[in-house]
Order: sequence, then C-alpha cells, then structure tokens
Amino acid sequence: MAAILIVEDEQRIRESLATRLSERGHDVESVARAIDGVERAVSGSFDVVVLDLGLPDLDGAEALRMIRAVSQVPVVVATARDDESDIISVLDAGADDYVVKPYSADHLAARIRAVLRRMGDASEDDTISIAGLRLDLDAHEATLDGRRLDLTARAFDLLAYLASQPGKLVSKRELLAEVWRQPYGGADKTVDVHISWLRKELGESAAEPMYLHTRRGVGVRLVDPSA
Amino acid sequence: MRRRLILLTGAVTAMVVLAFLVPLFILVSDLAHDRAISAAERDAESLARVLAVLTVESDLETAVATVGEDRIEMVNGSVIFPVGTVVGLDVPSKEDLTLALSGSSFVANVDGGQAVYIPMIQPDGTTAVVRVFASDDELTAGVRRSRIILGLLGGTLVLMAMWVADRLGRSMVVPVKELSATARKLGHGDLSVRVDPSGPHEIEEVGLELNRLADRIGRLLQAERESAADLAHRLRTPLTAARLSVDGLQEGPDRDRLNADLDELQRTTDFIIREARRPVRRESEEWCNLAAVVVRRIEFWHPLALEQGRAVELDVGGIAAPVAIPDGDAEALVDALIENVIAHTPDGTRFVVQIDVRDDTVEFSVEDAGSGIDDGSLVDRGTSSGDSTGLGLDIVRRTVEGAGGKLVIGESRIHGGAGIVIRLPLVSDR
Repeated sequence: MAAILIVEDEQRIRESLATRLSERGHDVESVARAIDGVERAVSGSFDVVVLDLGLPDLDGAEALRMIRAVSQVPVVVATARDDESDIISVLDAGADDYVVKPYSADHLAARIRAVLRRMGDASEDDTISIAGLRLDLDAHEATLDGRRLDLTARAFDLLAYLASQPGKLVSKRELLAEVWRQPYGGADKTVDVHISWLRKELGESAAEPMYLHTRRGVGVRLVDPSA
Repeated sequence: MRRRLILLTGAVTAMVVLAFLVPLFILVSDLAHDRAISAAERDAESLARVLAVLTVESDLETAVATVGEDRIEMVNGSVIFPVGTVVGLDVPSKEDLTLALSGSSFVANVDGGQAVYIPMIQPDGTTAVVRVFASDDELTAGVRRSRIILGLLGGTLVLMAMWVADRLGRSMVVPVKELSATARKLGHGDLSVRVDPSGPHEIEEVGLELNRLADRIGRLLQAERESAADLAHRLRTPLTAARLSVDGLQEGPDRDRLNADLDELQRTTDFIIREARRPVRRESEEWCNLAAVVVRRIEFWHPLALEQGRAVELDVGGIAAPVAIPDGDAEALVDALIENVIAHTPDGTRFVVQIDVRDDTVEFSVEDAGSGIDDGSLVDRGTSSGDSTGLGLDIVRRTVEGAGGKLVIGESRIHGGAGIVIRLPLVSDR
C-alpha cells in the first residue's frame, strides 16, 4: 500500500482515479489545483505524486520544479501532452515517469509500482537473472549463458517486462499498454512478431519453448526452464 | 506556344519580305532592260555620228568601208543604205526597215532581243539607218544574280526574325513552363514547391500569385490539421475518464466490450492526431528504395511467419525501386500489408511478396494462398471488422495515393487467395 497524491483538475478523472487506486489498496488524496498539489507534495506525507500538466492555476511542469526544489518524492506525470519535447523536458525537470492519457487504472497502478520499486531498490543491483538469462536493466543488455543477445530497444523492454514477473501469463493487451504504450488492436501482430524475434534470439521455437511459453489467444509467460 | 510564335513571326515577316521583293524583282528587270537599250542607243548614235562625219567629204559607201563591217558587227550593228542594202547584221523585219527608212527613230522587238533604229539624213537628202541589236541575254544581264541575292537576303531576314521570335518566345515560354510544372506538383500534393517568378511582367505576377496561393493552401491545411489534432487531443481527457470508469465495473463481457470500444476509440484518436501532425509540406526529396525496405521488413516478419509455418516467397530481384515515399512511411506500408496476411489467413498459409519495375512504374504486390475475397474478409480488411479499425489499409491507401500511386485489392494471380497490388510512379532522377 502506498500513499498517493493525485493532482488533476478534471473532476471525473480525479474522482475515478482516486476510487480505482483506493480499490487497489492505496491511500489516496486528490487535489485540483497545482498550488495545493505542491503544498501537499512537499509535506512528506506521500510515497508518490500523480501530476497532471494542464492545471488551471499553474502549469504542471512548473509545479514539478517547485516540488523538486524541496522534495525527492517520486512524481509520475499523467497528461494528455504527448510531444516528445514535452516528455523530455518534464523528465529532465525531475519526473520519475511519464504516462500519456488515456490510461487505465491498471496501467497507472503498474507505473506507480514500478516507480516505487525503483525507489526502493535504488541501492540494489538492477539486474534480473532467470536460469541462464541475465538482464542488465541499466545497461539495457541481455545475455543468455554468457552470450550477448542482439535485441532492439523494444525487444529488450518486452523481455524485461516478462522477466520482471516470471511465471505470470501476460496478455497481449497488457504488453501493448505497458511496453508499447499503445491501445490494444485485435489484428495487431506487433507483439507476436517481437516474441518470435525473442524466441529466435533465445534459440527456441514455439513448438519447443524453453523460456517463452505462449497460450494462444491468452498471452505469453516467461518461465525458468530449469524449474 | 513557342512554336506558334515562331510560325506567326515567320509568316508575317515572309509576307513583308514578299511585298518588297516582288517590286524589287520587277525593278531589277526593268533596270537591266533600260541599261541594255541605252547601251544599244549609245552605240547606234556613236556609229551614226562617225558615219555622218565621214560622209561630209565622201559618200556613205566609202564611210562604211572606212569604219569596216567587222567593227559595225562588233557592236551588233547594221547600216542600212537608202536603197535598202544592209551592211553588218542582217535585218529580218521588212516592216521595221521600211519604218526606219521613213525617218523614224524607234526600238523594235525582234527575234532574240530588241533593235534600236536611228535614221541618218544624207547630204543628198536620202535617209540611211543605223541599227544596233540588243540580245535577250544583254537585256536581262545581272537580273538572275540580283534576284538570287535579293531572295537570299529576304530568306535571311525571315530566318532572323524567326530566331528573334524564338528568343522572345523562350523568355515567355520557359517561365510559363515553370509555372505549369509548379502547378502540377502542387496538384499532386507537394506544397513545398515554389516558382521563381521570371519572364514578362504578367507571367511574373502569375508566379507570385501562385506562390501566395501555395502558401495559403499550406497554412489552411496546417490550421485544419492543428484543429483536428487539438480536437482529438481534447478527446483524451474524457477518454481517460471513461476508461477509469469502465475499470470500476465488474469483470465480465460488458466491461470487455466497453474496453474494446475504448481501445478502438483510442486507436482512432491516436491515428487522427498522428496524421494531423504529419507535415503538410512534404519535401520533394523524400523518397526511398521500396525494394530495400521490403527486404528489410520481410526479414523482420520472417521469424513469425516461420513460427506459423508460412512459406514466404520474396521476389525483388535486387532491383532499385525508388518511389516518392519517405522511408518510415514505406516501412509502415509494407508492415500493414504483411500484417494483414498474417492476421487474416490461417497459420501455414504461404504468401508471396514481389516488386517489379516496368517502364516508369513500380509494382509492389503481396499475394497469399488464403481463402481470398469470397468470404468477405479481405473487404473487411479495407474497412473495418471486429478486430480491426481497418486503419492499416487506410494508411496504406493514403500513403500510396499521396505518392501518386494506386492501390488495388483483388485476387491473387499466383496463389488464388487475396492479392493486394500497389502501383507507384518510379522516381526517375534517383
């Protein structure tokens, strides 16, 4: 459970998001104005702040700079702005993650978990090891039995997402939302082709899987082949 | 236009030259005739004067003998005695002879030329006649040469006028051609193109106006797109509220259906925003080698095709197929077509990807051995189905048409399944 502050001027979003996050066991407080958000965020009462940028009294990016001046509380920016320049500017200003509207409650909750996990494990080695597979999340490198895998940035993100929850059957919808940050499309074969690429790099096939096990029409899970 | 100007100038100049040349030709002919007759008259008068001097102290026969018949013939002359005896050239016309002996001075037409008759009164009161013949050659001497020179001068004048007309025409036609090419490119959607105003003032004005028009079209399109993007952008906030509300519903078919609807709405919104943000002014130098893009994307899709037991035939033959589509758009186009086959045909269905360059056209086709268009699935691909908004093929169509090409959805000529053929103009200067 985490203490979350939502700074969002749109009432329907603010109330729905607060309800959905509360249902997931979080302690949620929400405000509609940037000034109120800054005041509450620097109070030290929250584990994470969800901050909208288009606020009526002060731009969210400015509010973020004010928060960062006095506090290291994790901030997830959740906004409709999706210009790359905006994203870079806000991340450089100190945001810990950036989510573009429209997002689902699960999507935002996962982002919050990831931010909190990073904050909690900051001092630890940021690697994932499953049998012979080893992922260095900082260096964006993956090796299998010591052999470096030739992966694109997206393929690495996909592998890292699956490896971060070994054994869990992850749906294509979730992968599109979490890795591609795109809405699900039934005919979208992007995930399939990337999983095929991963299989090729991991030296396995759909017929004889080792790490990646697909359940047709449901999703894919990454398992420890030695288990 | 240039040719017509040249022809018009040629015709006008030729008429003017003819109007001068015809009188000149007549004048030259008259001058030559007058010159020959004058010379004959001079010769006749000189001979008559000499004979007159000699007959002061002797008779005419002695005077003629003193001058000599050969000298008289040298000037084509004849001396006709009062009794009709002739010394020198023969006098064939009896009528002329009679007239001359009666004391008349005249020029008469004779066979092969003209003759000058000058009467000469003898001391005894009788009349002798001196006659000098001017032949046709003498009467027309230099006429042919003069006419050739005048004709050449006239022809040169016409040619020079046509050359000047061509230069003038070129100064008008080249800017008009540039205007035409610019208008054509604008018509094909290249709003970056501008004309360099030149030529006559009126054409320069048209060029400036065309540039202003292109600027205005670009601004209007940009404004329209920004408006569409802004509208779609605003949709994201209520869309988020709707998604969060749906998240609060009990899990079940209703929630899944609502989530699917929201997914589709979000995809469409994203598409509108993405399309609206595409630059209006497509740079004319944006192009790609479609064959290389196809090879690259087939390599990308191959592992999935292999996994699904699909045989992929690639026939691009190592050819260059430059088309006016940016590299990224071409990748999206190829991906959309391959993804269509994979999404809408069962595992194991083989497909063939071909590129052929014929004359000035690049033909790119993706054909499969699926059930084809009979079951309607292919038609759905181009519009919408439960699984897809059909935006993939819509993007393909827009990309192809934007590059001046054509998308044809039909049956495979090879495998009997579905066949999608794209024909694009070859970018020849690459």
